[in-house]
Amino acid sequence: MMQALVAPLYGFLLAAPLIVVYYSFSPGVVLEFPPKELTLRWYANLFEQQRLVQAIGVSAFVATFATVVALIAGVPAAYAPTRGRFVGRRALAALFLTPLVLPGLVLALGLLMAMSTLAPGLVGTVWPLLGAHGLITLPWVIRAVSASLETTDPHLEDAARGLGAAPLATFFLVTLPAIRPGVTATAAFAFIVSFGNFALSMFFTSGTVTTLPVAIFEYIDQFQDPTVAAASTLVIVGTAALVGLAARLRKTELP
Amino acid sequence: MHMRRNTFSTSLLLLPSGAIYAALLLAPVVLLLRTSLLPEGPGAPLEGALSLSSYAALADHYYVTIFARTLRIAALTTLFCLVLGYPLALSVSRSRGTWRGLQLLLLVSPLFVSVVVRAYGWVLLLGNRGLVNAALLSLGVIDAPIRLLHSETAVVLALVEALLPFMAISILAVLDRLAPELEEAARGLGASRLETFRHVTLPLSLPGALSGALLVFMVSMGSYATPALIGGARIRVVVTEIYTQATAVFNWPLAASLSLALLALALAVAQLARKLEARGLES
Repeated sequence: MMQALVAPLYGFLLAAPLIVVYYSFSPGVVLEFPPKELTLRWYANLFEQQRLVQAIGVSAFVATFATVVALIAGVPAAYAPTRGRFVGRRALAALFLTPLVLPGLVLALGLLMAMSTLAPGLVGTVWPLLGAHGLITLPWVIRAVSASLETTDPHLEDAARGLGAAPLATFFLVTLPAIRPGVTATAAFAFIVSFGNFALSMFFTSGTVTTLPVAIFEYIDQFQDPTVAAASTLVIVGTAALVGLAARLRKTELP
Repeated sequence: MHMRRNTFSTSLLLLPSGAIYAALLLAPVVLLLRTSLLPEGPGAPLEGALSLSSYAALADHYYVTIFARTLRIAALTTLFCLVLGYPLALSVSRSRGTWRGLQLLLLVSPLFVSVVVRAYGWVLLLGNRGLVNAALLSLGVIDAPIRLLHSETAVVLALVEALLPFMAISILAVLDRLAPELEEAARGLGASRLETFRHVTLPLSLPGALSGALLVFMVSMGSYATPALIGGARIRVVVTEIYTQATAVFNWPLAASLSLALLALALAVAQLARKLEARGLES
């Protein structure tokens, strides 16, 4: 009985992405059901749209950069409160998560204002885009790595230290291998979060540099054809492949 | 001595993230505050004596309507997510094996699709030449396309779709920790399924529902892509108004005061949720 009740809900959750995928194979501009035929012409058209193709590259670059920054800053930040004991540990953990609940557009506007006052030279460069995406992926990494650290046994580290390993050696030889599955998963997730983020990029794109969600948004505003549906479908396929790969890596790494 | 080394290494560990938060979170909030205190006006030159004019401007009927609409949309979205999130969470928590895994996958997979793409899907479904209008026309229910897009209902619908997974997962996290013996005991003592849910499962899972509701409320108040694409120029919410003021009217002080008012509202809602939770724990 429960299944009959929830099946339409899953249908509702998947309706919007599925209709985009369906539209990408539509022969004409008008959405028709059932389809007369299915074509790949919009995929061919996509690769002639310079701005969209470039945007895919920009988004991939920004997401890679953001993920690397978030890992470099996030893993130590997660390590400090779970292993160290200091005043304000809990407040710090809550503070770490604030970028997740702040409206992205408000954050981006503040960043634009801060930049034009404190570092006007950076306005119009790719740096604010990279910084904003690094900031928004960081809390996800901190949260996921903290969760991984809490499930590992700190006594393993004590043992390594007792046997004479230096703190850094202990981290790289004992702690990191233990949390690697969590780190792999969160890296994939951080990449996806950045790749799909829209509101943070709105103020920092230009005629030449734009991210894919912004390019899609602009295209929908101007044209009515399934080209961006084709781009979206490619992103959905790519994301599914990334999630599958991360899941595989996780499995093979587990002892 | 050991103590001091410990503090030193902790600060070192927090240095990179601290620098990022200070430069990209703290500085923006401070500059929003500063900009909001400059004299407002279209194309305002961003100089002059400190003024509260950008806050006074918010009392205008136009902005009050926008704030009221934003709150209404967020409240309706939260309500529908609560009502629909419970059956989803219950269904997952009572399933085992492959069916559970499949449901979890279905539940989280929308989160991996960009908000812009999902909003676009709703445009394709609800637009004048969209699938729903086409179906109604061919069935002869209507003679001309009806306006489904650019309405508050459509915005709420799309927001519910986008945020329902967060609510379901939040409730599920609590349900999964409940001891199954509690429900079995209630059933054993003669309670019906519905009574068991009402008197045992529901009260015990309320903390999850409350944190899910808070998250959904905050995120729907702050979302931009969904109201912009689905609400259009007709359904203005605070965030789309901030964008217009910043990029089309060039009234940065007003964009800043709108932003801070939205943040204050979000904080007030979070505080209310905390109070509710504390009261729930007492009783």
